[in-house]
Amino acid sequence: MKKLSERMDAAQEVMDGERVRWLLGKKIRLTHEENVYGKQIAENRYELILANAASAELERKLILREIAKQPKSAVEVAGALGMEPAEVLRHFIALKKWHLAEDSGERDGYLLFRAVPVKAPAEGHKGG
Amino acid sequence: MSATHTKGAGEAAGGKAAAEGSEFHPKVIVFCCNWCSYAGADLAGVSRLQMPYDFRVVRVMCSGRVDPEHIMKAFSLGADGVLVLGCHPADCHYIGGNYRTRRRIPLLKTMLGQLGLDPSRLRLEWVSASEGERFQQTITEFVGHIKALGPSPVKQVVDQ
Repeated sequence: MKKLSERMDAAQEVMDGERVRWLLGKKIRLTHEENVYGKQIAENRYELILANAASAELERKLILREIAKQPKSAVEVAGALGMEPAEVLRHFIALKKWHLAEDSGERDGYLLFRAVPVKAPAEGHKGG
Repeated sequence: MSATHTKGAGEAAGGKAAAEGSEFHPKVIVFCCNWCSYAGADLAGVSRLQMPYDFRVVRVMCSGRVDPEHIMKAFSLGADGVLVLGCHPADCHYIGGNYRTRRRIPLLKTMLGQLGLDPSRLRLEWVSASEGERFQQTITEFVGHIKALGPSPVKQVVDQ
């Protein structure tokens, strides 16, 4: 049951994340206006894109939690989360692209990945 | 988006726990918009309309103020159900806050389904300031629905 609370925390992070918020905010523009190619996204297609993005983000947040404490291979993470190793590897590639994960050597012929520590915002900076 | 409301494994366990206990009083969080729903709740109270007391009202200036994170946090802290009440479409005091909420709720329901919670634990309804009776009916029906579902599987983790 501990897993469920962890998944809830990850879901909270997804909802707070840039990707899902961006997609939610752009709904009208994407579904009611034409893009630069003169094409419009149908409502049901938009919803599918949004659901897929949220699902992928949830998986990525869970993966990042797994590799936050110690480096792990795709097979190890897949075993812990009940996912396919190929799918985890696909997420690792995306996470590396966004500088959220990095290589950390190898063990038994498997590449290890670890989460890139997130820098805390500078103290005293209030924005605006 | 899929509208299927499937129960996860955790949900089944929650329902069993409810059946074993004496009487289950759910913890329902109701986010009310200041201009319509909260006034509707006030009207229901002033009119002395009877309704279950198993809900906590959180007054927000607009239903659009209810961030998805607030809803997820309510569930992760042990809420059995979350009801978001806003102004009817085109009646929003801030022009389009309720439209934003309407966009977010289906995504949140999908997310709840993925987490193993019944998506019907979250509901969005429109209640205007003059609809005290509608507020009462919505609360009665929703609390009854949550009682039938049983405690949230997350609640069991929080209580431990």
